[in-house]
This record gives sequence, structure tokens and C-alpha cells, in this order.
Amino acid sequence: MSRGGLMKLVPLIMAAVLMVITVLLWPEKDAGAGLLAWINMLLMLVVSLLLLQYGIRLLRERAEPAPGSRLRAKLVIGLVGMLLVPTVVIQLAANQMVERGMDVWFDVRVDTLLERALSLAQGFYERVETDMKRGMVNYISDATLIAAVRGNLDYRAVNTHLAEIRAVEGWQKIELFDINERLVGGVQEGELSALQAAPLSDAARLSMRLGRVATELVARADGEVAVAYGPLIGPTSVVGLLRVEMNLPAGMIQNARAVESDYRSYRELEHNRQSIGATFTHAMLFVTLIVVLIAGLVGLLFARRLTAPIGDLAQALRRVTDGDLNVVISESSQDELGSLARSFNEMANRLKLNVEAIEKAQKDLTRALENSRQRQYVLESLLANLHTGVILVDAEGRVRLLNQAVRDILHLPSNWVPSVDILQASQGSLHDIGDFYDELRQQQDEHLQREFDVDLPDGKNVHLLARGARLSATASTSFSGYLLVIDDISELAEAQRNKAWAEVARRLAHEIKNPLTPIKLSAERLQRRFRAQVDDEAVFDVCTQAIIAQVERLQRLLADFSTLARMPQPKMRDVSVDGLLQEMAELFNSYRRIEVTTAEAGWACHCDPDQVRQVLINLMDNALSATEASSGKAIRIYSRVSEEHAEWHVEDDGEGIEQAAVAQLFEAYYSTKASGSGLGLAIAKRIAEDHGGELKLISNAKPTHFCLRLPRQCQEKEVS
Amino acid sequence: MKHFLHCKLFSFLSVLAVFFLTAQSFAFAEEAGELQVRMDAQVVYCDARLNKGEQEFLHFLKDGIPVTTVWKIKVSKLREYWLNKSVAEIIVIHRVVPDLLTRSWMLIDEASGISRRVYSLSDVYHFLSRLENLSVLDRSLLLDQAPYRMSVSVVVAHGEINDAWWSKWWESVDTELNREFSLP
Repeated sequence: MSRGGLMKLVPLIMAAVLMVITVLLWPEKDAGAGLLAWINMLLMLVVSLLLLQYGIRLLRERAEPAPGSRLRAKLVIGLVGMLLVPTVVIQLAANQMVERGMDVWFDVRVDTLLERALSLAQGFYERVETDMKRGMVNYISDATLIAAVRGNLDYRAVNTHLAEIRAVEGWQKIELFDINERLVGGVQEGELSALQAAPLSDAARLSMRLGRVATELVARADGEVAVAYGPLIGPTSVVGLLRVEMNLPAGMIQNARAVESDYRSYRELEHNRQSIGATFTHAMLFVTLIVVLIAGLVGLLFARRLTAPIGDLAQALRRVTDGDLNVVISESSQDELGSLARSFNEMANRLKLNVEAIEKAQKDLTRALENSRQRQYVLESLLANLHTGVILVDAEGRVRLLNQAVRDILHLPSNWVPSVDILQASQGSLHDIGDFYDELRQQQDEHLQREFDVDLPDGKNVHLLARGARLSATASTSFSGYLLVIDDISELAEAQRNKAWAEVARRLAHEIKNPLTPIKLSAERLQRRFRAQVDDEAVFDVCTQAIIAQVERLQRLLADFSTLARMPQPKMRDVSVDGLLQEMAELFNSYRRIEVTTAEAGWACHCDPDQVRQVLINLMDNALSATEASSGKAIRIYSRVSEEHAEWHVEDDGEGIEQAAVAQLFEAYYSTKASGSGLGLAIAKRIAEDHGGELKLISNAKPTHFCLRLPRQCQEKEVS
Repeated sequence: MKHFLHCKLFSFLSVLAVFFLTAQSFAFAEEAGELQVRMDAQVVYCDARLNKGEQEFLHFLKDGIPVTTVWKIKVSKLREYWLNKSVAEIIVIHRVVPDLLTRSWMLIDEASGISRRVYSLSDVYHFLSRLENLSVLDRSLLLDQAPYRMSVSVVVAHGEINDAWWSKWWESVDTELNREFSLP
């Protein structure tokens, strides 16, 4: 059992001990302890029950007791125990002293002394009675007295005789009665106390009846008197009674009675010895109980006074622990507890101020963090939505930040994560990035801009515009490093290139177009007028025809140039997707190797049908060129329509396109055919882009698969 | 239910205790003395006797300590469903004061004030242990055929009697005699 559990048993143990003491001290019937014993029993029972109730309450108590209650209980128990021990010791010592005192008091010698004193007193009385009886015996047969009771003697003579007897025996009073208890005569020392004699007592009658001398003691107001009765015995029977009285000496009687009284008191005390001890014990016990009760009450009051501030302090600490800092406890006392209370109040106040400051700082921090998060969110959103790649590198050359755009542009491998060393990571095709960073780091200028091509792992070549800036630590931030901004300007470069080519074409067309028609006309004229005049017509025809053919070729080339340079604005309208496929089927009806698969009817696409038709014709021409040697359905054209897009797919089973040519396939003036101008796919792609769609090479061989993908609801845009 | 069981147990124990104490008291009464109720045409008398030995009195008397027997006679009407109704109650005090010097005993009837000196211990014992032909109440106060109980409680006191009003609070009765009777 724990110490706390044992402490809870203390009141019960004390109650049990007190009850055992109560039972042991329970007053016996003849103990004579009196009211005090019962008061003690009552007190002890009350205290026992109080302790029992307190102990049971402690045992049943599950919750944490009130602050300070344990200390208060300990103080009370300590104070009571401190007083109880000496009090019990004093009681035990006092009991021993009383026992010893009574042993001395009721000593055998005292007992013997009193016995002897009483014997002396009794001997006095016996002597008086004996003397009176002896004297009386002398007169029980006195003839004069007998004659007197028989009435043979006159009253005077009787009294004279009685006076003589009184004088001889020294008695104070003599009375003579006949058998009928009538007073015959009587004398008394001094004056007669009464004319009428007192009636005979039982003892006198008994004496007369038995014929024996008897004595008795009569107590009167003026003292005790020894009375003797002597029957006057006639020849045959008792004829009268002589009663004599003798006053006992007052001093002697007083002493004898005093001895008797003392003896009686002594014996009474001796009989009550047990009750005297019990009375003393209970008196002491009463004092002890009163002292304990008073000590307990005083201790309780003292403990309450002492523990109340501690309890308040504990309560306040509990409230502080629970987070309530608006706690102020009383500082009324001027002692250490008051000082403690003041210190606690100061501490609580300081704590409150600190907590308020912390809360304010926390709010500021939260706000700043929120702002920072918002900024970070904005930055991350910005970076995520940027099509420009951004790489942030710290002063140690480690990547701190890179957005998705740079991953998409450069097809960065998986080891490109924040904290990677940019120089180590920039290996292989990405060495230009590392070189650019290294150049930026080495140079003195704050900014650097370079353009370079990067061969991506998938074989694609991208033209990049890289711009770098050195970031220096400022007052607001200690970060320093480098910011790399990378743009994929491949399309821009291509557009610029196309634009340049278009400008060239426009100028060439302008410069070349005009003389071609007279050349062609002149050649035709020469052929018509001078054919007959030449010697060799065949050669002439070949030459003129070659001039005309080449001029026509140049005119077609110039027409394509013009088309590329100044594409007409699409005339948008809703066109049936299947309608265009049907047109292709009709247009290329003569080719058996073409398979046209139409999709569901009713789908329409908002586009310029002439330009889309031009693209499809271009794709079909290329496919036919690629499959001249093929048999069967080597060309397949079909459409796919969704809610947002319409797609026209052209597949052929021709030789396909070399991988190296794929990248330049849509560039102007790039052609794999000897007679091609290299403008067909470029124009087709331009048309697709003008429609907001795209022309893609799905696969370069087996089958060669192109896809024209246009939005079904396309916004017309200005042709750049 | 638990509380009910506790109550039942408590009641059972109480009844058992009452039965035990009653049996004890009857047994005690049978051994402690005798009580006779007599009546004539006008008066109801009682004769009571304590079965105490002489030594119990002599033990104190030989040392000169007065011995007193207080006889409290109570007549009550028995009632079945209510407390018995008290009809009469009288107290007789017999006190014996020893005279060690003359080896005699003064017998004092405190109720009447009559005293007499005796020299025989048997007289003393008789005086202390018996009530004879004591007139208790007028017969006219009793109802015919009604049951009554005469209770005599005897307190034997030694030494001086404490006349304080609170002394009766813890007065212990030595003997209690009961006799039920009714008018013939």
C-alpha cells in the first residue's frame, strides 16, 4: 500500500483505537464513576464517530482533495498527537500516583488503627452496659421495690428508696413500673424533666417479658443516654420493671462517635476505592479529551488559517496551469505566506504580460507567415504557370528552386531536384546550362543573356534563350545566388525564320514574277514563229519547252512563295467533318489504294473549308507520292471528333520519314522530294496554327501518320 | 434492494436482541425475587421479596456503611396497541444505618419517617429485602377484568444517598419484578 493510502487509514486506526479504549473504559455498574464517565464515553464515541466518518470519507474519496486539506489534516493530527502523547503519559503517571496514594491511604496500619479505635469506643459502651447490667442485677429481687410495685408501699417511701439506689449506683434517673407498665415511682438527678414518664420501649417490654436485664442506647438532643431495664422478679413471676438511665459523658461520646464516623468514612472510602480510582481516571480522561478536543479545534483553526493561503495558492496555481492567468490571490497577511502571495501575484502578472506579448508576436508571426505563404503561393503559382523556365541557384551552386516549365523545356532528368549541384547535374546535353551558369558566375556583370541549342534526350532540338542575373544579399534577405530564366524560343526562331523567308519570297516574287511572264511569252512566241526556221526542230522544241517549263515552275514557286508570305485570312464557317472526307474520297477516287473512313455524320467544325481542304490535299499528295509502289489500301484517311476538337488523320504505309528529317519536316523550303518546294507542310502547319489547331506527325514510319487537329469552335485570329 | 436488505437485517437483529434481552430479563426476574399482588375489598397490596443473600448487605453494614433499598412500585394498565397506561406509582425507601458503637442498626422508613433500632441482623435483612403488606392503591381505581401489571424495581444503594436531581439519570436498577393481575 502506498504512503498516501496508509495515511488515509490513520483516521480509521485512530477511531478503532479510541473505540477499543471506550470499550475498555466503559463504566461498570458498581464502578461509581458517575456522570463524568458517561460524558467521557459520549465524548470518545463522538470523536470516534467523527474520525470514522472522516476516515470513510477519505477512503471513498476518488477525486483530488481540496488544496491544502491534506496539509491541514496533517497539522491537526500532528498537533493533536503532540498533545496526546504527553497528556496520556501524564494521565498514566497520575493514575499510578493515585494508585500508590490510595495504597498508602488504605494502608493496613491505618486499618488496624481504626479497628482498634473503634474497639475502644465499643468497649466503652460495653463497659457502661455491663456496669449498668451488673448494678441492675442487684435490684431485680429487691423486696422494697417488689413491695412498691405491688402497691404495698407509699409513693414517698418508694421515691426515697429509689433516691437511695440512684445515689448508690450513680445513675441519673430511676423509674419503677408495675407489671401493667404504670409508673410507680421515679427519681431523677436534679429536677424532674417531666411529670409523665415516657412509655416503655420494645426493649423494656422484652426485658420484662423475658425476665432478663437489658440495656439500650437512646440518643437525645442533649446527648446519648444508656438505659437499662431490670425486671423485678417476684416469687413466681415478673412483677415490675426498673428502668434506669445514665447520661454518657459528652466528651467521651463525642470522641467515640467521631471514631465511629471516621471508621465509617474510611470503610466507605475503602469500599469505593475502585470508584475513586475510576473517578480520578475519568476526570483525567475528561481533561485529556477536553484538551485533545480543544487542541484539535485550535489546531484546525490554526491549520485553516495557515493552509487557507496555501490552498488559495494551490488553487491559483491550478488555474494558472489550466491557462487562466487572471488570478489574483489575497495578500492580507504580512508573513512569509503574504510575501509568497505577493510573489505569486507578481509572477502571474508577469506571466500574463509575457503570454500577451507572445500571443501578439504569434499573431504577427502568423500574419507574416500567412503573407509569406500567400506570397509563396503566388510565386509558386506564377512559376507553375510560367512557360518560362526558372532556376534559382544559391551561392554554393545548389539548385534551390526550379519550376515545371524548365523541366518541360529541358526534359530534366529525375536527379534535378532542389539542393542538387547545378554544375554536377548539367551533364551531357545539358552542359550548355552548366556553361551558362558558370559564365554568369565568373563574369563581372550582373546579367547575362545567351541563345543556344540543346539536343534533348528524345532527339528534339530546342533553341533556348537563357538569361541570368546575379542575386545579392540585401537588407531584407540574406539570400544570394543566381537566377536563371530559360525560354524555349524554337517556335519564335522558326517564326522569325519563316517571316524572313516570307520576306525573301515576297521580294523574290516581286523581282522575279514580272520578267517571268514575258520570258514565257517570248519562249512560246519563239516556238511558234521560229520553229519552222530552225534546223533542228527537236532541239529547238526541247529548249523552248524547257524554258517554258522552268518558267512555269518558277511561277508556281513564286505562287507558293506568295502564299507563304501572305496567307489569306481564313473564312470561318461551320463545315461538316465528314463532308471534307467525302470530298477527299471523290477527289482521289481514281486511286484504289486510298481508304476513306467516315465518322458519324452531323459533326461540324468551324473552319475555313478551302484551307483545310488544301491541307488534306497536301497530306494526301505526300501520301500518294510515298506509296506509289505500294499495293492494297496503303493510305487511310479518317476523322475523329470530340466535343472540343475535330481531327483528320492520314496514314500511309510508305517508306516513312527519316528520324533526322522529322525535326525539320515542317520548316519552309525543307523537302525530301527532288521536285518539292518544301513549302507544302510549312503552309499546312501555318493553316492549322491560323485555325488555333495543330498539325502533328504522330509517327514517322509504319505507318506514317499525320494528324490535323482543329478546335471545333475556333476564334478567328488575325493573320500575323 | 441492497438498502432494503440492510433494513431487513437490521430489523431481524433488533428483534433478536429484544427477544434475547426480554428472555434475559424474565430469567433475571425469576431469580432476583418474588412479587405477590394481593387485594381485599378496598385496597391492593403487594408483597415483594429480594432473593439477595445477607452477605450482600452485611458486607457494607459491618463496616458501618448505610444500606438503602429503594422500592419503586408502579401499577400500569396493559394495552395491546399502545404504551401501557400508568395508574399508580409509589416509592418506598428502606434505609439501615449501622451503629457500630452499640452494634445495633437503625431501621428507617424514609417514606413514613418511622425508625427503630434493632440488634438482630435478621431484622435488618428482613427490613431491607422485603416489602410486606404494602398498600399500593385503592381498588376503586382499577377496572374490572382489565389486565394490569405491577412492576417493582429495586435499587440497592450504599452509603449516603445522592439527592441531586441528576443522580437518577444513571441510576441502575438491581432488580425488577413484574406481576400481571386483574380484578377478580
